[in-house]
Amino acid sequence: MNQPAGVALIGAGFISYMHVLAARADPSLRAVALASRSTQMAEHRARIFGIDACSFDSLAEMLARDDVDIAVVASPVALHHEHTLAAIRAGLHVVVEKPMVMTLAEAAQIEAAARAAKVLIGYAENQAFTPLVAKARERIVAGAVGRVQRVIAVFEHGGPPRRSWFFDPRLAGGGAHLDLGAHALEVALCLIGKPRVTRVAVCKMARDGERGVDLTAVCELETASGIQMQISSSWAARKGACRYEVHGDAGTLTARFEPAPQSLTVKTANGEEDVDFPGGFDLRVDTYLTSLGYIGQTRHFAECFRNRTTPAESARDGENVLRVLAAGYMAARTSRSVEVADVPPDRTPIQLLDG
Amino acid sequence: MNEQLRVGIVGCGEATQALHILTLNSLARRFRVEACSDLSPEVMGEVASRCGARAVADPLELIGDARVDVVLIATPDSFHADFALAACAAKKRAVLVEKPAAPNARMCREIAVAAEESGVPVLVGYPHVYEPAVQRAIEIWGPHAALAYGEFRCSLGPNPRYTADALQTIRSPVRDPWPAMIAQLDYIAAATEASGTGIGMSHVLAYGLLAGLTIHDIPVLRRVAGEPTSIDYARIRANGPPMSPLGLSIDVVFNYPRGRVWLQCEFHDVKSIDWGFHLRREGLHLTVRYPTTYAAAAPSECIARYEKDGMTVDERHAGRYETGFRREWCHVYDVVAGGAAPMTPIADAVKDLEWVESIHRAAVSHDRGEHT
Repeated sequence: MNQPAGVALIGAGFISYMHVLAARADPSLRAVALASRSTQMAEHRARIFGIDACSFDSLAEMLARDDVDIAVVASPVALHHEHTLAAIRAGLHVVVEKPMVMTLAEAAQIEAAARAAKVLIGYAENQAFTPLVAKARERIVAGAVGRVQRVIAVFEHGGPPRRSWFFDPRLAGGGAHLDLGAHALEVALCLIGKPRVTRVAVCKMARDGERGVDLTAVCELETASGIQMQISSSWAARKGACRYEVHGDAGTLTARFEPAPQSLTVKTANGEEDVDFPGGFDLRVDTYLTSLGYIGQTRHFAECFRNRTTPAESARDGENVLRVLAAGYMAARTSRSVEVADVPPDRTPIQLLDG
Repeated sequence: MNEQLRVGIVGCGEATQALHILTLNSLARRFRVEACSDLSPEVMGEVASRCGARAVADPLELIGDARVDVVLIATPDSFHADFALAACAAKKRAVLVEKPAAPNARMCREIAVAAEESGVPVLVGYPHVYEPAVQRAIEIWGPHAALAYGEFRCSLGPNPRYTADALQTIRSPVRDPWPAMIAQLDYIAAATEASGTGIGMSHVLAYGLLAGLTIHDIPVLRRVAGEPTSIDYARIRANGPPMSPLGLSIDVVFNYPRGRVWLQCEFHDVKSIDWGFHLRREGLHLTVRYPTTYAAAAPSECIARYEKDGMTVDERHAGRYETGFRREWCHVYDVVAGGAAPMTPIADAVKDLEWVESIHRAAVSHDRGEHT
């Protein structure tokens, strides 16, 4: 490593702080520039980060800079496709925030473009890179719960800022099920070895008004191997909660992110065990970011990009998450079960909910 | 004194309502509030109607308005630079930016460069520098006196302890946790830029306390006692609940060529205030006491104790009605209308923020066991 790889951020929202701080914690990386829809916002945030600013109008210029090696796409979801392709065209490796894109066709285009350009895509499911999930997975692989039968994933909080793009169906593509369900689903899948989800049995949603995004969703899924999964997401909770329960024929494992402190417990016929894991909740900036997965994620992607190996969370995972969540929107509309393979390639989740 | 300057206010929070507007109203022959802007439409509308100003939702529109002569920037700290730069670009006649001028020296320097290039006087709102008692202390102490020992203490409680007494201030009725969360992230960004990501949340909160509170004392220290040569010692202690600035203590010892100054900041959930400083040298002991915070008309006092004719003399200097805020705005007027040199120019405030960063780095390095 001669000099740090340069990171350019596309998007100046809340999550841009996590990416900048994680890059700051990694000597192999250096955040150099940031773009936002509004020049004013780009300049404001870039000034705080001590990096250069540009607007989306001059995005190509930023991506073409000699000192930019990696692009982080953290713009509103509707723009991920365009921004990711722009970064690929500029020959950059790309980290894409979740959910990856709005439609399966967009996901396929991104995968094809990255392959052709010989660049790599990291899908930013931060929780997959936490010490908590790593330890939980380790215990499940070691047989702590026996044969996995059911997974319950819950992610809820009070929602993003009311005036933000998250509540605009055209920019967000969906609500809590797409935003928080993306975490809940992918982490649940990681915990049990990423089996193929075949079917959404049922999905119930509550919307923000008649045509607004979904504020809450509960979705029952089935995998090819017969594991049942429940994904519960909410932007309407008074208190934050985020936990993963993995039920097997020999016990239950619960990995809890929220409420803090994080914890990992395994319950079997022999009793309950609190499992230690490194870097739990801590009042240090870097260990806190590690406990949320941002530092591990950033380090992993940087290593993969350097060594040209496919990241553990890749565009393929992003596409799969979108497909399963989109099937949930279809099931919510029809009140019937939906085969995941039947999701049309060109419709956004909210369009599937509207029918 | 004929001209009445038109003030545009960006940020209508409690400091604007309880301090600046009262002060500007008391100086109505010199100033009138022309326009004001705030993120909260409710607060902006109420403040505008109270002082007969126009409400302008877009702060950049307010800054660009030719009917605004002087801009007061009293937004959350991380926006100061954005609006100060816009005011320089708009060639305003003067800008008063609340302390801290920016969350760090780098951002402050950017404003200073713009002020220099545009020729727009940008002053930092350090009311203590303008306090009559401090100005008297500077005179009594003299320019070249060698300091033996100084003690700066700020023991204060959280703002709501005092703003509850500031009558009829209005707060946004919308409960939105996001601006406060982003403001905290801004201070995480500033603190980690200064001292790296391997710091605790108490270090982040202490950075906020240094930039938000100790920043009052540093420019006074530099003006009265001169520039310290270095930091001998800095410690941060967090004795309160986790993730809360309550219970934070900061101790700094500054080295001087022939003496030292101990600067102490204590932030506890009490209303009583102990804020001021002592300076000693042979034959003179100066004491300055500040009044309670958020009190627009309370006086500060300066006591000079010395020996004369075999007697110990205590000389007390206190203005009954004059305050730092009134003096500050009078000075802004003198800068604009009389061509006076700014007493708290933005270029000099860079140094204050450099001290904030140096104190932080020294305290963090102490906690890491890196004694130098």
